[in-house]
Amino acid sequence: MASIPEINDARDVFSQISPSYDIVRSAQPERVHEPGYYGLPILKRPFWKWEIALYFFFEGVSAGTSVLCSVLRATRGRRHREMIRAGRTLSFATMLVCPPLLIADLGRPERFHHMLRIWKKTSPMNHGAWALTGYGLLSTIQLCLIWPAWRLPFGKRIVRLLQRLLPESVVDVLGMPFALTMISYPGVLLSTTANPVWSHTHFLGSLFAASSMSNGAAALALLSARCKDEDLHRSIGRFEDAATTAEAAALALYLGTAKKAARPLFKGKQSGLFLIGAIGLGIVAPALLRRARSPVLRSVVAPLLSLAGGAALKWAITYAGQESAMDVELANHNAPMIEGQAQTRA
Amino acid sequence: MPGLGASFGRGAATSFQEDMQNADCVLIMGSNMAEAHPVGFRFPMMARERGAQLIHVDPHFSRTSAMCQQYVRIRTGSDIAFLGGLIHYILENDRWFHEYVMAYTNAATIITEQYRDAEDLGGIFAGFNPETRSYDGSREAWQYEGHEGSGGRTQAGHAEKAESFSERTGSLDSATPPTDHSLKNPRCVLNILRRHYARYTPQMVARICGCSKEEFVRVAETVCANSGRERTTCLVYAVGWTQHSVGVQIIRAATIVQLLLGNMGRPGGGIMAMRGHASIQGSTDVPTLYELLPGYIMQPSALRDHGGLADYLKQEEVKTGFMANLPKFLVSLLKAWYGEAATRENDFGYNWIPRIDGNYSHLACTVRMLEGKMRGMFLFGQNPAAGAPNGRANREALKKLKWLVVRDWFEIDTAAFWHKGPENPDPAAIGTEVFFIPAAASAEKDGTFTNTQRLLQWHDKAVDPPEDCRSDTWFVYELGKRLKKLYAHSTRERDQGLLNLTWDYEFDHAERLPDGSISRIHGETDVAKILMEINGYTVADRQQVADFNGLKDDGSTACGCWIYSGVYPEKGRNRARSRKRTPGVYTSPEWGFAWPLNRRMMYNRASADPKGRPWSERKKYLSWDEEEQRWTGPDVPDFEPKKPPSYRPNPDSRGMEAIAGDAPFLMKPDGRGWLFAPMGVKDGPLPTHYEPLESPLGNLLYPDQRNNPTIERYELPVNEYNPPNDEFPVIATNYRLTEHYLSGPMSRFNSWLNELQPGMFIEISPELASEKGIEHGGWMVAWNRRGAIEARAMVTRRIMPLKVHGRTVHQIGMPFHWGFAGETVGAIANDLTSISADPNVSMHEAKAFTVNVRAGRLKGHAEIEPLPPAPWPTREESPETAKSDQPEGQAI
Amino acid sequence: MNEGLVQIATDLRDTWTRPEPPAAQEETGFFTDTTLCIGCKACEVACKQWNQLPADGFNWTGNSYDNTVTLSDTTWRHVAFVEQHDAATDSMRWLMMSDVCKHCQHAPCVEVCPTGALIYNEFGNVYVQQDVCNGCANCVVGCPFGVIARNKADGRAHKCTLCYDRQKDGMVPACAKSCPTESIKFGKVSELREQARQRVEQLHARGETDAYLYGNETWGEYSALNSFFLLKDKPIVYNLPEAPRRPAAHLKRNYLFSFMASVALTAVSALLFSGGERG
Repeated sequence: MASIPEINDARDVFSQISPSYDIVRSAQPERVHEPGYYGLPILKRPFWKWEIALYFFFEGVSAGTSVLCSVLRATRGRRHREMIRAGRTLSFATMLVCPPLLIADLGRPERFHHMLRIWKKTSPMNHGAWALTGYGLLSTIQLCLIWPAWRLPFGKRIVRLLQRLLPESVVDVLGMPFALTMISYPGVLLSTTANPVWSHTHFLGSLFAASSMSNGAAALALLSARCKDEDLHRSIGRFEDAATTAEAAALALYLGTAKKAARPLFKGKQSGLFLIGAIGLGIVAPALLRRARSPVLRSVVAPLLSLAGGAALKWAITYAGQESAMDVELANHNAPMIEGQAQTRA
Repeated sequence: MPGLGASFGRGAATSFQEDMQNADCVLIMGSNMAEAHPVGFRFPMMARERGAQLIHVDPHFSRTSAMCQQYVRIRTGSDIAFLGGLIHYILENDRWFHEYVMAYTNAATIITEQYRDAEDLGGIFAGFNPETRSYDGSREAWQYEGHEGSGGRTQAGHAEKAESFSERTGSLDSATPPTDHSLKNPRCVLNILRRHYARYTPQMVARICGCSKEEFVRVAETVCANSGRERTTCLVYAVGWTQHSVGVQIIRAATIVQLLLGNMGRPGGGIMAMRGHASIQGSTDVPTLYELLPGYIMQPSALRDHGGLADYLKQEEVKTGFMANLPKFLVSLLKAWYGEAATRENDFGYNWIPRIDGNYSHLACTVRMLEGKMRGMFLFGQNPAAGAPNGRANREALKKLKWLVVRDWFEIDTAAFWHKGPENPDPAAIGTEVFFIPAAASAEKDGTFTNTQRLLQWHDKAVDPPEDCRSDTWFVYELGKRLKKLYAHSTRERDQGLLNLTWDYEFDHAERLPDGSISRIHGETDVAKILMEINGYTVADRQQVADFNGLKDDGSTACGCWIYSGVYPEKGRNRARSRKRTPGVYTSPEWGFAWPLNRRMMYNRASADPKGRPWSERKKYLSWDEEEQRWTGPDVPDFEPKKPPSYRPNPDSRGMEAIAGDAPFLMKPDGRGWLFAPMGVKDGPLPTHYEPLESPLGNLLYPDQRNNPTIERYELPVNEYNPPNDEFPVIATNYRLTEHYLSGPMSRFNSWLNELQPGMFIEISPELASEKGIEHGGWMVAWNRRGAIEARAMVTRRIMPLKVHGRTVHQIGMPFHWGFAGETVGAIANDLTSISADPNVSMHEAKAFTVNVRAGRLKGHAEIEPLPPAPWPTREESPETAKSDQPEGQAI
Repeated sequence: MNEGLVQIATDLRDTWTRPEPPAAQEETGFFTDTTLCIGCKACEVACKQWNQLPADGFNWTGNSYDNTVTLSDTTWRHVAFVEQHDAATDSMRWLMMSDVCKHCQHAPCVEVCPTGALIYNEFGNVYVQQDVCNGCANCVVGCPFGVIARNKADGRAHKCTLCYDRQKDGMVPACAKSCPTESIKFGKVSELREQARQRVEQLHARGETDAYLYGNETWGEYSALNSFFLLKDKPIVYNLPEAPRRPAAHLKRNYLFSFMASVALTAVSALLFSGGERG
């Protein structure tokens, strides 16, 4: 028997039920007005927690200080040799904290080197891994150059050899792109995700960069606290002002473009840290204190607050990702900025 | 399934699920097919995609309802009112298929003058004996005119719930009872039908069922519009119909609808009886039922004149129709069982078969156990402590046993009843010795499944079962060997049956696994040998018989179950194992084996008109080929393949010769589908609406006859029935979820299934919830006179209050999958259901009972710790992908 | 000791030297037609069984019949249940939808993965190479659908592999194989897309005008999905984003602004410091 021919005419003698359903959830009637699917999040919570927040802070201080030391060496290296040495040491020390933090964050720490399997242009974390590698290497060399390893066997000879092959100026020039990447990529890393608070803006990178520069300046200010050179103080102070202004501007741009996505920074667990810590103590207070009479306030308290503020900013924003991932409405309209057309893979 | 048997002749689904794709309308009632038979539901979905209307009529909106274009909510237990309304609608609006009905049903047959309808007697048919509460006088009062007193046997009341062919199909002295084709005689069946259903108007349906008149009319109109020459409607039911005090009558009502609309035996038509368990069809074919021998042959009874083989055959004789072959089947069965010991002289060992003297059905045995009249019990894949009606009564009954053998995969509720459970039992106080014997799973043994469409499918053993797990066949075989040894020297007559039993099913060669290795296990049975015996063979040269037409009543053939004959037609050819698809033929005749004779669709003679031509090109199936003088089509004809449509029997013809060439229901003595059942059903020749045994409402049709008058009640302290008043105003029903299986012995030990449905809940309407202060997700209690359970409340619009009899009635629904053993535990829905028995098949009424509900938890209830989740699948690290299996690709 | 060293050396070598990828084949994917889904969850179980994934614990949620809540590292197919009641007509609708990894044409998880563990395999499916993944969890925040997650026990990211192992042997993925109503269709993406378009036309002709395809083509900034869906209600009703984000689309601009800030500040510092020298 041949198969039965398909039926095309509508058999229902009565009209079809109108498909115009009001969306009323029937199970759990009390939760009818919640958006989405039983109020469940669309996105997954980030696994990135304190390790990453601290990493962002330390690498910011490290790279910021490093860049400023290079600039300082180029501009007034002869006068501030001690300052530069202290700055580089601090930069190196804070850099040293970074790899353990990053590795601790991995699900498979013993595979940290897999980051360096490839170069991937769409992955900021991959960029960061390469940058950190380069930066770490050069920063070590730099330390060797300025802090000769006397006690090591053949220490002097190695240092001398290094100095001949890689004079400090060359290392500085080589290190600058890495350091600048270290400053620039963390915010971009967070932005290159689907998490609304991080990604609904193009200015998180700038904000983190400005904060890192400002932290670098604060670190230098702190290191130069006992220095008698008023000119240096003035220069650093001015730069601090400039960096703080830049940070404030970036923050304004960030909040202005993130709009609703920035909600977790104003409400919820991170709001205190963000408003009081990052903005109040980290930006406003140091800017005021720098104008104080007391040198202690000016060159000790203000930079310390600035550093703490940088830490607070990075911590708050990293952790805001936790709450932001729970926001169904934003995850639903997750691409408010239409930018070019998506492409179909060839 | 006497409902189908009484109407058509065989108590099995009349078609096959693949055929449902050809339906133009599928009416699903009493079945939650999408959830309980998700794989088969593929075919209604295919029909829907081809443009068919799917209709679900059910108390709760289930996943099945979600798939149907029409859903009608009715009160549980009001199905006959709905179907009666359909019958009324069909007759009143002249929507019945005249040619089909006049030719293929007993519509024109005249019924005896003694007949009085329930409409005349206030809800009771003629022939009722109030003392025995049974229709003792039915053989006179319900008969065809001129056949009063025929039908052979006395109705044995509740003692036997026979489902034998002879009983169901009935016996007539002549295959041509008096008829009036002008339909003028007021006593002809169609006119009786008209009168009986005159009051089942759409308004009445709406008042009884709680749906709206418009909803009902829409369903009726859709079903009628999709039936007839060009179109067919398929009807699907399952346990939602059978588990009622009027279950058989509900099914009977469905058969009347389908006969009137001409949907039987035609593609896309029929009645699909969806069975409730894997291979439950098989377990009635080769029965685990007490009152049947294999192949629906009636168990000899002490209450009937079944003294010797001749007496039995005389009593059970069916003169006309196919069942006139009964002697051949019975004698061959005896030869298969007793081998050489079965001789003509000793009636082929007929007297070694135990006679039954009462009701030994599951529920009756439970009651007997409660009364302390049973010593021991074997349970194979059965879980009465949670799965049987009135769980508490069942657990109490188990405590009265001396010993209990449970064969299962896990320590199921029934095996654990002595140390845990809702009553927190004290092991010291329970004398039952429980033997828990681990069983092999289906993939760990050879065997067959017989599915809902009578299809036998063989499954090969894939791996050896772990440790001491063994197949059930192994266990029974070993038990048999030991019993034979124990009684080896007995000379008592009653032991000779056991001693003479043919019992040799061991492997001839070492058993091999599919990979060619030799099985670790010794002494497993070769079930292929059993299937070969079931198929039948000639005694002299031990050749397999081709099918049951080769069986003889002289002892020269042996056959373990005649309906399966043909499954193993020659050595080395196991048709159940065949898995061939036939391109372009959707009946797939080479896939498995469907009894009888590999027929996929039963009564398929009806797919052609009386002259043997297809009713329509669209619904072509079987037709008479004039040139070849035989029936042809994609299926095996359910008819004598060479009997022409023009064949007419003589009045004194016997057997198949008495069946005319245009009488498709060849199992019936007159070859017709029975709209009116003069015999075969014990609670009325026509279905009529009764309230469930427990209902807060009266019977709108018969104020003085609330329930089915023939229900068997078991008034016991642990089995009280709820009074029909406002003490228990909420109507409850229970059902299955896709995620679990029955009471959960196979699924509640599986983490993958448990995570999908981890706990017991009760579905309740927002209206009832707010009335009782019950919160969604919170705890609630449902109780009645038999027990109380606590569960999570699932407040949902899928359950709604109904307007019935002009008042608002609340219904609740609950799954019945939980118990106290397993990785997830939960309240037992069956603790609320009762033990009662319908008169035909001793079926309880689990689908309609009453409760009351409140918010909160149950006090004094045993908190049961679930088993820890199985260590497999593991939470351990997944293995590394082998380098060779590791894909490489382009990272963009 | 020696063996250990050899092992480490081999591992190190294998980290950088990998075999050539097999030749690309036609892209495969899923077309999940929710109008055919009966919510049986066979796909969930078949997936867990084939991939030997653990159960996620037994928590009754009350969210209709959905007790597994979401896709995760150990749940690669997830069936959503949405009960809808229209009070005006007193009619019910119960939406069911089997969710799965979308296998995006431009998958954010692949784009952000720093190790190259996430790749497109020869069938164009997004696949996590378990021997490469180091659990950095960047993909977790990259995915706008919340599909991929890092496993607590083994520290790596997991998600639907589209049954790579089965495909390599010419078999259909477990979920599609087990789907009784062919709600989950597996096949070549080009064919599935055509099939899906026809299906929508068919449904529209039948009066079901609310049926539409999700992810059949690029929309907004997002690429087409190789496992796409036919839906009957707004995406959010099924917990799918209406406008998913493709993070890498913003990468250049983010970098630009970021470097502008850092370079500008460096320049300012040079200016200020050198100014001081002179003054």
